[in-house]
Amino acid sequence: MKASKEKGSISSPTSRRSFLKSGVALGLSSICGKAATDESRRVTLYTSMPSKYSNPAVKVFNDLNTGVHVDVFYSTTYQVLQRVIAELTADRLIADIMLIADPGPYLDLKARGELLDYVTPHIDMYPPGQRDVDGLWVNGRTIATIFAFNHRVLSANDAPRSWEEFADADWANMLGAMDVRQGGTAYSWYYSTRNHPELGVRWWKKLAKTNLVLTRGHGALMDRMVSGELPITEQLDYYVWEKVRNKNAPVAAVYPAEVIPISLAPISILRRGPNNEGAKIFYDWWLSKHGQETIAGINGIYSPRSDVTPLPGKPPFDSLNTMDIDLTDFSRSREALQKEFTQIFGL
Amino acid sequence: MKESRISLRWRRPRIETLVFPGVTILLSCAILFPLGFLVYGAFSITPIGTPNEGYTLANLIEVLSNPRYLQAIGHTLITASGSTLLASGIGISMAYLVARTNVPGPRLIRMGVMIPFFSSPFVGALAWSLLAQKDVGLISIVMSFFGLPAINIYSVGGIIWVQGLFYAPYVFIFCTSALYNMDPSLEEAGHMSGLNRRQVMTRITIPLIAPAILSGMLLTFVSTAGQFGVPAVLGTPFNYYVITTYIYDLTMTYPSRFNMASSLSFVLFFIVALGVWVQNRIIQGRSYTTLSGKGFRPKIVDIGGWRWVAVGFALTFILCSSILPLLILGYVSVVSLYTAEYSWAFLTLDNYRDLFFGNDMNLRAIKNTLMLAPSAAMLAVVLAIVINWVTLRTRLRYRRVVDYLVMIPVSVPHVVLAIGMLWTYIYLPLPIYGTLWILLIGYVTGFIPFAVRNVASTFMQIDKSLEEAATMVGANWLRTVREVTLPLLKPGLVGAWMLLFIIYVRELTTSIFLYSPNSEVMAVMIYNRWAEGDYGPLCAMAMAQVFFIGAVIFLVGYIFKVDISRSLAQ
Repeated sequence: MKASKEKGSISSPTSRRSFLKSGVALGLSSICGKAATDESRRVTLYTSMPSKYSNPAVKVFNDLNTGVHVDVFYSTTYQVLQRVIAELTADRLIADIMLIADPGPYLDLKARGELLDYVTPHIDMYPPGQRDVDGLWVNGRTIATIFAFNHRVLSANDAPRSWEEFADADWANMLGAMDVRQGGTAYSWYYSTRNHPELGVRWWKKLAKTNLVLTRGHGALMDRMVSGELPITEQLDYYVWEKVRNKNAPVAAVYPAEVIPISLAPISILRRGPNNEGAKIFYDWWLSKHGQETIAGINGIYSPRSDVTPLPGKPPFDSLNTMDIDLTDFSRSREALQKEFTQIFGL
Repeated sequence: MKESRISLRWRRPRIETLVFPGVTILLSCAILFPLGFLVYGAFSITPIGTPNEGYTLANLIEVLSNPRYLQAIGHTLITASGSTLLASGIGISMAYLVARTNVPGPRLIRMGVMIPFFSSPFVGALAWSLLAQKDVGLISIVMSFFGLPAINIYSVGGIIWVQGLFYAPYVFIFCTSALYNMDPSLEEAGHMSGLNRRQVMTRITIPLIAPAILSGMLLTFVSTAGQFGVPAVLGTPFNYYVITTYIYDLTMTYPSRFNMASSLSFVLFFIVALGVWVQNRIIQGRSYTTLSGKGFRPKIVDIGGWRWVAVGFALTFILCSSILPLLILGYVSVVSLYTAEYSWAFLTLDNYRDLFFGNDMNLRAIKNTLMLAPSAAMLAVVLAIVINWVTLRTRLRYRRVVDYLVMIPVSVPHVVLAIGMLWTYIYLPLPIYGTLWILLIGYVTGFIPFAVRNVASTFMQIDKSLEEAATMVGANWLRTVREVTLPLLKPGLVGAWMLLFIIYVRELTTSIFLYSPNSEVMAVMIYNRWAEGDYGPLCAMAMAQVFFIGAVIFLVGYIFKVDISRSLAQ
């Protein structure tokens, strides 16, 4: 009786051995099992678009049953880029499509002949400033940089209304922003305001005196603003819009009159990617009206397509005081401006 | 004629003649190739992957002369030393209380002290950044209620505080191990020779456990100097950079400055190597023979009324390192949006629903973690057995080299090792890059020193003569290992496996550099949620991580009848 009880017990030697064996077998078979997936259908998107938006957007595409299944690799802008560069260098590209919020690297990749020479049939729906002259990349998301405040801590009357007021000494120790060196949108903010005739380097020096908290991403800033710890922060407009719509966050967006820095998040197919044909199907969908409406709805961004209905609760894109950016200068100035930024903030 | 017939007969090679060099070569490649990329990057004029244009010392000179880099080096020394001192203060005193005094509930305290080990310092830093939020955090509210000044967690003190709390279990493990295994007859001899309790403590107990304390402190110093998560969460917001955050930023900006990052990591390598050398110098000549593992029952010291002070101390530590962080993480995981307001009305299970049912990626990350962590732990333990056999049981000429080789990953910050591994496996023409294999290999390579040291401590407690007896009666190496060594090592091996399992479930730095589509793991999802500003799902995932670790510890402890908190202290 005792023996049979022992045998049946999970802590008996036989059970322990089979427990171990099955565990090892399960682990190894699962690890090896990855290779068995149908590679011809798979397309891989490398993106810095937060996964809480990119995943649902890609799921909409995958559910269309086009015969192509898209996998997503999400990371920060430059980590995605470093990964793509490493894979290209070793001639072992996993990424088929790259979508990051910085047009600079696309200029470099195009110059190196790494972008697929493919023009989407939707190209005419994108104005010239929103695409490569040869159509090798197209802006897949338009991101506006604004600032926002916690309206439980500050009333709308008291809150700053312009970039000039944002940098006022009154807000010392209450402000946060993303580190300009850490991402494309943050660099675009620096580039646009630093080259603005009324703001310029003077404004940045004024801002540096407020003891501005610099973070690696807008997410951490948003969390600290929502909890009231940092009541006013530089933000991306879609973050604020989405947090208010989906979570009823106690924050309000301010679209400063001086300038709204705009970041392009280009999408393009990598020439040496494993599945160019599959990639074209996803690329075309992303840039189609259905794709852009889906992405705008999920992500809360402005679509670069003129025929996509603007989202309720956001000012029309045309009403924003944006600045035309010379992408070549934007890219070339980067290192000098990053250095200038580190000097201003003593980093 | 007879002689020549014998020499011509084919003899099946003994298995160890293949296994020992095989494992040595594989490990050498896994450790040295990534470091090769690091060395190349540090001295090359051009970045990795571009045509070589010669070598230079300029990067290293820049690192050692630029005030910003020097400041980061200084910051690293300050935070690592401070954290080590705090962790040691807590770890040593807790270990003494639990192992050698009549403090009430030693088993519960032992488990409590180990809890911070179940969640990562990164998650701990996030929890503390919520607890001590300026004006609105729970701690800030309590402090202001009592008229006390607010704590600024975004400070050097904040970094040291969190690292100290979360590394205290490391020192605790090493010290309890030494205290449990110490031969009490030495102390008794001291008492009999007329020494009082304090003299016995300072002249006998402390010198005997000093090597173990030093090992624990060194491990803490090395780990905190290589810590990325805590200074990233608590240091960067007030522009306080340590070497790891600087390295990360140098590699993660555009254009990346990998050559500079490699040079800077050299400095970290030397700081850590210096620490290892100092430890070896101090320990040199001291004997470990008192650590015989004979299962002594150490003498328990009656501390009288101080028992309750000790309990208070232990509870305060457990409150700060486990209860409060878990409470805040738990609360944030069950509210839709954390606004620093506390109300039952906000409670929802949405974050957990999304974690388990709403998002394929989350589920995949959980599955991958639960597959990788046990497999990698198993592989590391198996390799550790072979390595320890080579270094402790053979007279092979390369055994000293192996001994040093497997300790190298301790001295290399994982941020750097991971970048080196990424380059290595991208170039290696095997189907490793882009699969779960790279994570498996990365985990094993990065933490092989932990496995080897942990298994070694139990190995040293087995009398060699038992294995020799098996060999003498004709058992081959594999049979000796299977039938003699492994059964004797079992509790120690389960402990080592458990330690590695916990480390791998929490592991962030290697994972974040090496994961690919479909090979996400839980720690990466937590980091990404943080980057995306989603505290709710982040905390739900962190709670799930703690739950899985707790569940596996309980289950394995039950199945193998091993007291985990004790076997970790082997």
